[in-house]
Amino acid sequence: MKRHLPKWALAAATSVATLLPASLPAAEIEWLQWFAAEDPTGFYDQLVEDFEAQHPDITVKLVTQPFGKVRESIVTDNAIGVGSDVLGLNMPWTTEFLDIGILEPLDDYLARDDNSFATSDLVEAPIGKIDGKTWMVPLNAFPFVMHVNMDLVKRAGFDAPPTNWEELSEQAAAIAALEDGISGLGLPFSSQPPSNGPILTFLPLLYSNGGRIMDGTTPNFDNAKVVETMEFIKTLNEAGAIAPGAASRTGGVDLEEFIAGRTGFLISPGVHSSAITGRNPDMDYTLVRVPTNGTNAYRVHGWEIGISADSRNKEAAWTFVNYLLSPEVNARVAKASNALPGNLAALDAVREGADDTLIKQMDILSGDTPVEEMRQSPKAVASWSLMTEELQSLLRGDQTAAEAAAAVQARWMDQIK
Amino acid sequence: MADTALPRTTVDEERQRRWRQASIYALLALVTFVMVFPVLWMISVSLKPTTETFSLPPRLIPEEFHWGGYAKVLTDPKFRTFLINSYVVGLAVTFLSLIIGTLAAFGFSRYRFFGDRVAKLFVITTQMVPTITLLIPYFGVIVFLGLYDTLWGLVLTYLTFALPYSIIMMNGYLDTIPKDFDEAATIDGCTPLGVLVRVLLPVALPGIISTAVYTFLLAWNEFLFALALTRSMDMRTVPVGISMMVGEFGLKWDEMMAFSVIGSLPVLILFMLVQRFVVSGLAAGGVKG
Amino acid sequence: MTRPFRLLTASGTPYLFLLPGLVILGALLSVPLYKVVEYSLYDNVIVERNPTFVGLDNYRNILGDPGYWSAGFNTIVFTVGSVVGHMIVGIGLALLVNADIHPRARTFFRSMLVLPWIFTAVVVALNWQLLLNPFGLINYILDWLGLISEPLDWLGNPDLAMWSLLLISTWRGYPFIMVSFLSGLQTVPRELYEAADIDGAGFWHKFWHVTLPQLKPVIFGVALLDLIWTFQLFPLVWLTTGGGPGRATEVLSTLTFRLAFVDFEFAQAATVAVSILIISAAFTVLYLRNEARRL
Repeated sequence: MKRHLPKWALAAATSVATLLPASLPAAEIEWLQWFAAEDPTGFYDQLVEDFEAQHPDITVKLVTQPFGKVRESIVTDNAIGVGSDVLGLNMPWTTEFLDIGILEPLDDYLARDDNSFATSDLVEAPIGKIDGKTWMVPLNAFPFVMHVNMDLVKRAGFDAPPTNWEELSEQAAAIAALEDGISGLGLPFSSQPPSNGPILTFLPLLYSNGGRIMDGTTPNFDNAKVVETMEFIKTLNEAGAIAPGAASRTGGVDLEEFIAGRTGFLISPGVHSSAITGRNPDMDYTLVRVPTNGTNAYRVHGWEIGISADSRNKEAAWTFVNYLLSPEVNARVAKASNALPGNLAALDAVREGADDTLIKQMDILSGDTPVEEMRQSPKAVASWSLMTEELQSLLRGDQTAAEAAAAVQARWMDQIK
Repeated sequence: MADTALPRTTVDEERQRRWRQASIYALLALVTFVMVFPVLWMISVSLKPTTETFSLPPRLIPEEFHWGGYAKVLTDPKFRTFLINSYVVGLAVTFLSLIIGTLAAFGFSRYRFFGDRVAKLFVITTQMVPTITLLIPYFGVIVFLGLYDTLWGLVLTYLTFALPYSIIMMNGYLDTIPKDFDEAATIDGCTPLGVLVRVLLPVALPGIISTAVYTFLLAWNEFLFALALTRSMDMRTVPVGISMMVGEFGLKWDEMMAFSVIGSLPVLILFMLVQRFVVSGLAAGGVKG
Repeated sequence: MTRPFRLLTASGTPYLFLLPGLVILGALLSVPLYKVVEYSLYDNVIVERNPTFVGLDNYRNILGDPGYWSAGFNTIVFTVGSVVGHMIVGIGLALLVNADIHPRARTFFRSMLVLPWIFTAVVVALNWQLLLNPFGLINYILDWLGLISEPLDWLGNPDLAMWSLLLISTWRGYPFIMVSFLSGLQTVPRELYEAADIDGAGFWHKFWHVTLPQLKPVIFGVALLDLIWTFQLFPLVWLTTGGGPGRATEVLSTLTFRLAFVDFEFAQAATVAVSILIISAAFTVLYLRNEARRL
């Protein structure tokens, strides 16, 4: 019978068939991230598989990069036009990526009423508008906390972790005096990439002092609170409370020395608690809010998700993002990464079966003020390298706190000129 | 013929020779220990739980051997993929760059021709721009050629890195071989290619080996391009796999060192096998008076 | 065969030998090389889709930046120090493992001594960071030997960081020289040594008057390449010190990377890259002149 059909009819039939939704060519989207490299269990492969089962028309390819190279990869891929559709992001990259035009604004997608989540439930910091738009959504959140080795605290003659700066300096100095090779607190101010020690330790202390380094999108580093916080770490250093070799200390070494029981305190994301308790189960360990100097504020960090402005499959990309943010999936992601969920509607699901340290982080998350300034910062990555250099010089005694603050401000302004 | 010409050694000379041998061994052992010491520490880290690596005092010999890093690396199939990719790419690059490089080196070494210095300058010039700035435009070329995310893309890339070296070094090794060799062979009726293959290459074998070693290790160690030019897990190489262990929230020291040690063992064995050829090639080539 | 044809093939032969190599290098690298030079003449390349042509402005910027000159100075210290270190250790060890010892022992020592070369830069950098940590093994041993009274921060002290980096670079780079030189040693005709022996020449005499002159082409080639590579060596420096503390170990290659991927100033990065190209090209022209004179 087919044989008798004229050619044009065949052609028409074929073209109609391609227009039918059922035979839409499957969309393939790429998800560039480093999360799968951080997770040894294959969780993200499973997550993608589950998504594909629910959405047979979309396939997701996991493109996993080492964390240290993600930012470069996104820029390089974008320059060549082979950028992935869905991007794993960190908040500090926001302004830089906007300047290059890498990110798709998400406001229209967030305004839809068939989303699996309510925008108002999302952790606030990453979705705050820059240039009047929202650029990324939170997959999860890590508040910065202070990890405490209670064995050392007790050996030094105290029975509770420090809650304010005064107690911190007293306890840190006492712990450092215990024996050679043991210190109160580590400051990972190495220039080795990512050279981000100040945002790991200095900014959390500054925020607990009620200070800030940005004024909108303009650097405002040279202020009294910054100088006061710098003076605080300088005093700690002079009292011998800081681990020697701050200028060559990397974040990784800082963590490992804490786990090995060689530092009393570690200021870092709460997510480290699982590494600490997993690798040194004998330690009498707890975590507390970063000791305050009058303000209960914490630096919030997390894994964010965005869509590439050049993506040819933005609909499919959003479908996937929407899936990741639904309370059930988001709770799974949070549990797998030992973090708090980006969608706070998932909090209760995460709380179930959560350990003590995670519950403490939830209290910090719900009670204190979250701060994330680097996302507004132009040249964020360059700016924290500058902070690292000037803080090294401060601790070496080559300049005063006031001079260091002024130097960072001047160099930072020069950067964005 | 040289051996028979040796003068008779006296007892004194024999004793002196032995003493010299012993001191060479002692010196070699000492120097080797110092040079290998950092590698011993690497092995030590691979055999310790990370907590012990960072405990005081530092110990070279682990308190208790911990095989967790090795177990993880040996059981996870993706590490096998990284290893195979690295070896495939490394061997392919070595093979191609030896052939192409030696041909060009022969041209430079045995001929004076119009544009020879410019050609050589161009070859070396390709090495003079920091590769990091070449990365983005080079990436564009690879995508344009449709080689993105393929091992062929990596092979070609490392070939371009290795070729200048192969050419310059093979040129140097060929230059050390007297021209009389060629002439004798040419008179015997050899074509230029015949001279290269039958006369020069056997003599230059040690040079070929060291060029091969260099080329292989260049491909084996390279990271930046391997990362940018591939994106599937199936196409990644050992250095990329190792860098994946340096996470945002910590570093798997034991696994990283274990993987480095395991990955390097075959390289070491390969080197042991080929270095036997790094003995006097002139003897093998036959010296015509 | 007619006479003109024979002439043609004779003069064409060297080109045929060069062809495959030049085609591959030309096809893959000439566009990127051209692009880098082009980038250096524009503003905001890569970041902007339509960058503006600024002529030599980037060069004026870079040359007026004291950071460029201090990185340039560090690069010279690092390059000269490394190449000298590579040469001394590499050639010394090549002579040592070329000694007339048992073949098995020779295989063993040669293979062990090549070890620093077979690990990827990340691992080398991280391993040395552990070893040079204030509480790391090296300080521990020095303390035990009574050479230091308190731990030194090898990579964090601005006065020590460059020395530490040179130590690491020498360790990492000598096997290349050792292997290349060792191969060269085998091509020295044995008759020359025998003749020297008959003249009663000692070890040093033979080294200076037989080995070195014979290996000149190899040594020059190796030295030139080592110089060019070390001049722009990136991963080892970046991963070990990141140019720090402060900018104490910032070299031109790390400055290039910083401009490109920390600051996203790709045009400025290209400008520094072109300056590296010009300096290396000057070396190379000198080298080729010298080579032409030798032949």
